[in-house]
Amino acid sequence: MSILLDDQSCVLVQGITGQQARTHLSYMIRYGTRVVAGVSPGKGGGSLDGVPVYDSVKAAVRNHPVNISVLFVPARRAKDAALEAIENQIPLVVVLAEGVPHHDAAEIIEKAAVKGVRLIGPNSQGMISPGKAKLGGTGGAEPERMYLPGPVGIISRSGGMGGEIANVLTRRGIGQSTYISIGGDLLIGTGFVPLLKLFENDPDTKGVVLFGEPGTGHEEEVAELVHEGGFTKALVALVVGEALERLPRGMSFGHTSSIIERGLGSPVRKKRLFKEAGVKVAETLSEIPMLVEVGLGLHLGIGI
Amino acid sequence: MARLLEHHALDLLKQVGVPVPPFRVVSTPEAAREAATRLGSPVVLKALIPVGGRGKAGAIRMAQTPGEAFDQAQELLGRTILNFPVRELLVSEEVRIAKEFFVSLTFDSMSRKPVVLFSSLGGIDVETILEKDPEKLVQVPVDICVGLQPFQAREIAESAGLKGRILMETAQVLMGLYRVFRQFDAQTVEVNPLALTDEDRIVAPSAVVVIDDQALFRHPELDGIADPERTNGWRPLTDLERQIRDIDKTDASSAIRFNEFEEGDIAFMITGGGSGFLALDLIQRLGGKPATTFDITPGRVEEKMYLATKAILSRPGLKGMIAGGNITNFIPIDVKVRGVVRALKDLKVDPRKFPVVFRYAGPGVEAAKKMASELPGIEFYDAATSLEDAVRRIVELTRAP
Repeated sequence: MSILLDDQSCVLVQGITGQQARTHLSYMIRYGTRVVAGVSPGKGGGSLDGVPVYDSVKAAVRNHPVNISVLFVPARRAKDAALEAIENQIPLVVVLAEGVPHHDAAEIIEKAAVKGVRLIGPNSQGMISPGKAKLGGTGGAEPERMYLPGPVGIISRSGGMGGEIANVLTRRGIGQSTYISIGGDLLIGTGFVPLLKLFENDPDTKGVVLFGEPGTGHEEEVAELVHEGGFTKALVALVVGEALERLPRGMSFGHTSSIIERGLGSPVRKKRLFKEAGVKVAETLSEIPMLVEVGLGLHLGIGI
Repeated sequence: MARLLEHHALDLLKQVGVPVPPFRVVSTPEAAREAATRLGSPVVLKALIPVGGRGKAGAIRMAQTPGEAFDQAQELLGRTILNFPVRELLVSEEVRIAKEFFVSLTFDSMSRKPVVLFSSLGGIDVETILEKDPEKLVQVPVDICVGLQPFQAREIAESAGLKGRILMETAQVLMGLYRVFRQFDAQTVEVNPLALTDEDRIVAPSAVVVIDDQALFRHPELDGIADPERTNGWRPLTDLERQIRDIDKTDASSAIRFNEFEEGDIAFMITGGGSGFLALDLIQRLGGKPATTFDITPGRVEEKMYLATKAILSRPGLKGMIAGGNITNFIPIDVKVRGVVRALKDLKVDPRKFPVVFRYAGPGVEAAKKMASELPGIEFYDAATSLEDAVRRIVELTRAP
């Protein structure tokens, strides 16, 4: 099994006529994703890769069952597109855009919460349930290179690093159930905790690997969940950014969340809380497969 | 992040009706004396630099007379304080404070909402308030779709022990600050201290406004005011940082983020938010000294990689370079590598003497390897080798024999 996404999921692609969307549309379809419709305001009517294109989400959902919308819409138009998906009650909305203004992100998140819509991102790279389906950029043209179906969930605040984690696991013969890139922004719709709860209830997921970064309180929240017994499967975490704590405050990096403030967000503290809660903390990428094997009770190094 | 200079921040507050003291901006001691005469002494002089902690750094002075204002201005102007050269001063009427409050509007990453922070412990920073007396910090999340409501503002003032007219005035100030926060896409609006004067008035003698630079595209009114170029967060841009920003401006399809360190001997060009941090942690743990950090978002990157590599390698004292990032999903990496290799060739770098390590993985890796092989000595690693092993390698290679 997997969480959130599988080969039965009916996917809508917003911003389908953009160049990136078209590239990824073909990769998504080739991998088995059921893309049922696309939206591109002002360009509705035709079809792309056999996928009908509509002017609005409303028209798309009138004609097709949709349970996921993935937004290939640039940052400046992301709010409008996300609100459109949310208003139309699509249960899962994935926002890929990088650089969405904070005020827009906050509005989208607020509205999603009111409407009971699960929002992934902004600044998500997408997600993949290996062997079944993928959304967004995750896995690129050849997801098989990096992803293998199996029992380990991955949740990462860095899109690229989620891929690296899958890669080291796959090379060791350890497959993945679902990988979700939750986005590196200060304000994201879904943090680690709600996804860990889904993994907890997924019988085929035996353990999860998290990739954490400086800033926000997402990792702290996980430590609390584990401490309270809300997640009982094997959990391995890699938290980067210690170097940041030795650099001058205020230096800016790629991820807007990487600001340490109000007692939250220090990688050193995050790791300490993880250890106290019994989460296995990897210091390097290469330690992850070993820690996962130990967590899963597999010491033989054979494939699963 | 684009932090406004204080006079610009005060202007925005004034626009929405928040009471601020009369002020002038001056760049000479004579003008400071003149301003003090016009405003009426005593006055406060503050260095206009885009950074916090000015009080402790001696960048804020009192002057009892216009003559004193001249002397203080002479002392401040032209100095470098907290890494910034002082070119202008804000001269404002002295606010005689009977009581200080702390107020800050910002985003809370966990509630995902704007939050109003208010405390009757003013004049100290929020970390200190949390240490000293966390009970005294009121935190009120705001529904961004509805906005801060007047009753909420009154409740905040009330919870800090305010009553009557002062409560109403404070609530009005909070409404004004929220308007600045929303209207200008601010990441932070902070007034610390918010002052109750000895004449029983609420005044904002100072203000910090930080604009979300990702929203600057829709704020032409902030052109030249909100300037992310002024600072990399804690000091002015270095020459190399400025050069890289200029290179970045040549093509809007991708964006570079670059920092230069004072020390360091490895040109460090590992891109990606997460992988950059991972590599930086590791290189420090291994005792390597990065001279830079570098990130570039997808787009037409070849020319930028070429120009940036050339600029970065011009830094004196480098012992080697590492370039790369995590496995890409669809961005052809040979395009990036072509830019870097072209720069290395132009600069006649001999990787057998000046170690160069690449760790690139993703579409186009074979073409990239072939290109790199044209310069003997480049060590090229792909998805079969972890980013960490590549970092380990450059540290080994640059360590003195």
